[in-house]
Amino acid sequence: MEPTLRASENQHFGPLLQVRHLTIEQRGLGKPVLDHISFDLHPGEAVGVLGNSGVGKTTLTRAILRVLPSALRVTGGTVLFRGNDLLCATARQLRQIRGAQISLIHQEPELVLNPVIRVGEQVVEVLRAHVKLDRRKLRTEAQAMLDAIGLPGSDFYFAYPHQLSGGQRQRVVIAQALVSKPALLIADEPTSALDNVAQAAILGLLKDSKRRYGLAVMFVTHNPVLLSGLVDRVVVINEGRIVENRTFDQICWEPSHPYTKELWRAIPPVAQLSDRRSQPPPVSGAKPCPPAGDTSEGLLLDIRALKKSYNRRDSSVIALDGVEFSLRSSSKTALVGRSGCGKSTLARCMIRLVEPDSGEIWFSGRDVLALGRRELANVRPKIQLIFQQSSVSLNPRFNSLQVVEEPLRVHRVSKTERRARALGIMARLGIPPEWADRHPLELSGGQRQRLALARALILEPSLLILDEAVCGLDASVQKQIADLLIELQRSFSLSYLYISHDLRMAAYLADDIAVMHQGRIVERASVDKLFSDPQHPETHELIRSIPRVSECSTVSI
Amino acid sequence: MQLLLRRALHSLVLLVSASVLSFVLVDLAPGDFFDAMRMNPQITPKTIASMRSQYGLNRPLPIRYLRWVASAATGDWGVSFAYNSPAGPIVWARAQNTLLLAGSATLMAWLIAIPAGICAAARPGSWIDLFISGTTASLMAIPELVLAIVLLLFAVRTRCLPSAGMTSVNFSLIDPAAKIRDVLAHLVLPGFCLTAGLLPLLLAHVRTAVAEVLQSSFVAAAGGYGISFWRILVCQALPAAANPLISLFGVSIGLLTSSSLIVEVIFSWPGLGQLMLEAILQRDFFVIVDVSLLATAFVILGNAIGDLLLYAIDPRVRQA
Repeated sequence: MEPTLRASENQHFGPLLQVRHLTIEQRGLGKPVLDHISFDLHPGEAVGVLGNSGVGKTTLTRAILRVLPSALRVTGGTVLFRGNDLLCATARQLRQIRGAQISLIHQEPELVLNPVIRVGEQVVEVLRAHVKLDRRKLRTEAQAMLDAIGLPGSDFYFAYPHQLSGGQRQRVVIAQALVSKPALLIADEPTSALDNVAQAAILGLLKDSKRRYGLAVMFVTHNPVLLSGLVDRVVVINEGRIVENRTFDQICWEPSHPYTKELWRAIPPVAQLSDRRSQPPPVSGAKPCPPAGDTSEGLLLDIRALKKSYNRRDSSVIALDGVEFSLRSSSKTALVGRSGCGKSTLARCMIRLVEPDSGEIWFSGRDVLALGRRELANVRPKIQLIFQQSSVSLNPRFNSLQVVEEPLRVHRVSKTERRARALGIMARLGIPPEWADRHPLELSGGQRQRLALARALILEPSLLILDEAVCGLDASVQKQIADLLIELQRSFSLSYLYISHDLRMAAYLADDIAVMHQGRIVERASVDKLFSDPQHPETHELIRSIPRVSECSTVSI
Repeated sequence: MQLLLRRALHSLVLLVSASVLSFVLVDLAPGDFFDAMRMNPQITPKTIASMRSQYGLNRPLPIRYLRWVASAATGDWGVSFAYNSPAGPIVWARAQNTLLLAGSATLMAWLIAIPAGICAAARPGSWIDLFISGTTASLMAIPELVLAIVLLLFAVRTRCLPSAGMTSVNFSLIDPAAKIRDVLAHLVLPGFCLTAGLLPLLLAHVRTAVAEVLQSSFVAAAGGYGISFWRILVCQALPAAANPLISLFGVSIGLLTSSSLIVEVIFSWPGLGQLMLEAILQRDFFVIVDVSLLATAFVILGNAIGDLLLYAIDPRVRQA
């Protein structure tokens, strides 16, 4: 009879989790993914694991729970949980630990819930694996858990995942993780798929749960700001090694390692917004093109009373409810709002990927909605749309060069000229020529987004619409792309419309911010005015939910 | 409810257009039932002409169609020239036999495919997976006709199973229990042949659907909460994998009734296949139309059953 690990629960003193010299290698790869990782986690303590994507953070969380993909192999070290080595545990012992003593919250709340099972039942399912209770008691416990994490009542219990918003789904995942009262909660980028308002709520919930249940928390993220007020200590990982392991305050105010400093530098400051204007542009040297004729001073885009609703079987959803919006040429504007406010529908309406129900769209003096197919084909190159997920919006069968030159092929440009122009634009965007043969999926997220930019700019548009174009990238990569955008806007003298839920990045990228709420533009102002004197309650809410380091007001972040 | 009504209306439109189409197509085919009589010196052309007008064959096609619709309303569904009686009852009697054969084969194929496909998906690369994939591939490679002939040869040589028909010669003399045994024994060979034709398709789909769901994040997450593998497989993966399989279930019902026509002819099963073959050879107009309409109805019914099941099981379909 193997000893159950639960028996030692109350006898063990000292650290809850002791990771010692954990080394993990990938088959066929010389360099280890994780290299001699050692750290402790005490009961009730919260530790942040900080690092950009690809440094091995997720691998670390998977290794602790022994759910590594088959290509990865632990080649050394120990992971002691309450004094027992998890790496030697039997399958049965692991089942007793997973979910009951260590719970893992995954990144994508839309993928980790079963689409055909009611969320309440999914919470019950976790509980059933660990305690012997009858059906009624299981249901009461699950309902109590859902109540506690802010999804009260039987409506939520009987809902299916697709009926919930992203934030609500993440709450269900947290309920699953907490329902059998684990001692350690591992949260792997739990808010990266959420908008800022939902993110703030989830972070609040995690802080609250930590206090209420005396949880030890391991919070994995690429954004150091999120750790503020949540964790006691931060482990910074770079290229599979721990480069810093100190308290949050030390990491925040006196980061010692250059990598940590780089992570902080990638976060655009909120309070110093006015300083941005006095700074020189991040990349200079490109000379601005002359403005293109008489439209340069006037309105580039003018949208009047635009309406669009989507019909479902039993209800209709109003996505755009009389939008009034305009853009000047050579301007930098941001459209900000939380998920589901109609931002993306508006962007798609601008080039008629979505047909609006009523309203007017004027683009450089032409009524876009009145255009025939052929005329529309002439206007569309002037407005380019860049999507959020570069991994699915670029054809995976094309190599980089083909991706960039394809728009020219549509417009029947000769092959040699296509090549020359594609290589030219790629060079201007800092894409090395050796990427030309690579396929989009072989590139990183930031590299792909550069490619998407090159593809859009090759048609020399006068308006670039960026629909959450940097969302989901590491903060430092976001910053690079943002700086590139600012430089391109100057040198190509184009307008861009940056669409996002992230007010911080919007303020960094734009001069002018429009706030969208429930299908309407509720406020529009310059960045300074918006932050100093917000008018609409939604703007207040968005500003309040920008993640920031809370304790100290002396440093402006 | 609204969905049901729309669905029913949709099916009705399909059936009407199928009937019009088969009317026109059969009419376009050269010759009719009475052409064969011209060879017979004892029947005068005058008699033939009067018979034609008696059955209304000299009327234009739209009139004939309307008269057929009227007779369908009374349950006659036109007239069989060869049997000289209403076509509907003849077709329906045969259809029951076809349903027995096709229904039991479909049931059998699914009963085998679901557990086997799940086992193969649960342990990819194991001996059981290899065995099942091997069976699938070889069954797919063997044409139904070859299989049928091999089975016939086996039956004739060993004499352990009846090789043709649905009942033995002494069927009317034996007691009810023996009657059931007799029909079942006759069912084995054609049923096996049909099952073998459908099985590889189902197996491949079940295996793929379950394997795909097992790859998904929510299954990995459930494992991370300490839920046992078999519980995840049955309670989480299976409901999520059901969606494409249900559509396939609907299609498989429609498929079998048409593919069983060939098998019926080979094994002399007194079903629609035999009837259809005779009717086509004799140009028995209304029987051909009725049988093809019935086959269409099976396909529509199969798809409707699939859609309704999907509606009942998948909450996303209900919402969208």
